Amino acid sequence: MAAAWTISGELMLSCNCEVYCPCVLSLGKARPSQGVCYSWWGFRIAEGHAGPTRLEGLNVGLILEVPGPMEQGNWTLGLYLDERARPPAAEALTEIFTGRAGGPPGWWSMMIATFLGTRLVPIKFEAEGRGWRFTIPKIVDGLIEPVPGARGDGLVRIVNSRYFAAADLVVSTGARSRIRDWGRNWDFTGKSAEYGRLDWAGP
Amino acid sequence: MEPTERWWARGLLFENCNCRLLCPGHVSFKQRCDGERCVGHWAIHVEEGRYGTLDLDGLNAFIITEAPPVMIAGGWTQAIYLDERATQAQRDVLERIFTGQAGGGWAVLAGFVATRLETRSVPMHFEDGGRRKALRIDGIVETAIEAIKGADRGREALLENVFNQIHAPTQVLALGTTRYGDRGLSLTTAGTHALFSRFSWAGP
Repeated sequence: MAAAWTISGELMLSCNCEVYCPCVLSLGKARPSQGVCYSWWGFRIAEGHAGPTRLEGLNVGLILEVPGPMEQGNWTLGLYLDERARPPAAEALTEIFTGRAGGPPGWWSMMIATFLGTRLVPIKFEAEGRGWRFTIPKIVDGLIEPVPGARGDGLVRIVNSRYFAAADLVVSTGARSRIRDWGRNWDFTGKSAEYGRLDWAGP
Repeated sequence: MEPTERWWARGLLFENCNCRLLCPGHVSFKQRCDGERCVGHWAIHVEEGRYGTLDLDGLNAFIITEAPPVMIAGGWTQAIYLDERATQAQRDVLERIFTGQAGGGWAVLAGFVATRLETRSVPMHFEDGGRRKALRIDGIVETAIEAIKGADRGREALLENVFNQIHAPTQVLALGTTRYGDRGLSLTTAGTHALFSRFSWAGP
């Protein structure tokens, strides 16, 4: 059994669906807009630990390819860990982000058919203008921006959903969203994206 | 035609179309919808409304639209059904509103309609339950939508602050089931994009 863990901060996701990705609100049951589900995800851990191992200040990314509705599995997943992560932190983050340490991403452990591996790389997760930038040099060039809202703070939000990653999300779009690695070369510019608070704990 | 008088209406608006939730066209007419043709409906219950001095309280309407998958291309076909309890004067006003002749958000939508089927006056049964909204026109349509569950079961799951011509900016996310067929148009859905909001319209 994995040690008790918590991570909190921010998350973003950019995928190949039309805005807004039907996989989120159907909890993985819907057919993705283009039939297949391609995405990259970014995480900024502001606070966190796994047992005695501290995780604050570390960023995480992942690449995910699913051949149909998410809940049907057969996922191919590759992980990017902050190059500043020491071996115990890298191990704990690998357990968490492959679902083996339970919590909100726990169901991934049943969905992942092919694990591409873990790369230790420099990762940046930053606010930029109205949106958020996620960068892994030579791998991810991501900038997502909120869809303009009708009024108020200008954001369109999904509120109180049962989506596992975050109940509240800012409906966004890939202003520039490219990922090239592990034999994939994807461009999600103009497609669905989301930003939310990261607040996960397990097991 | 008579000049348009000042008017306003508020009530419940719900919709169901053949896309998965969330319909890409609902976010932007520039996006491509899920099907080869985009077919959806709006079901309307006016709780309170006035057109000049004419009262519109309690009247129902149902509008079906068929469009190309990228809705902004226009070329929509639309049919309007009005509550047979409406007087001739009320029917004339409702038709003016929904066909965009009385201004407001409906005027923008009307600009995309290329083919308009004749408006029909029919008996309709509108049901405004808590999580469930439904409308029936015997021999033409049976539709019901149900709010999806929220993470907090005591509250609805919402789409907040989205721009829309006829819905309120905050809408309750739902899934819908519809069987509709009339004059060559048809819509059959089960568990697809649906939502509802408490609208507030005004014109001209």
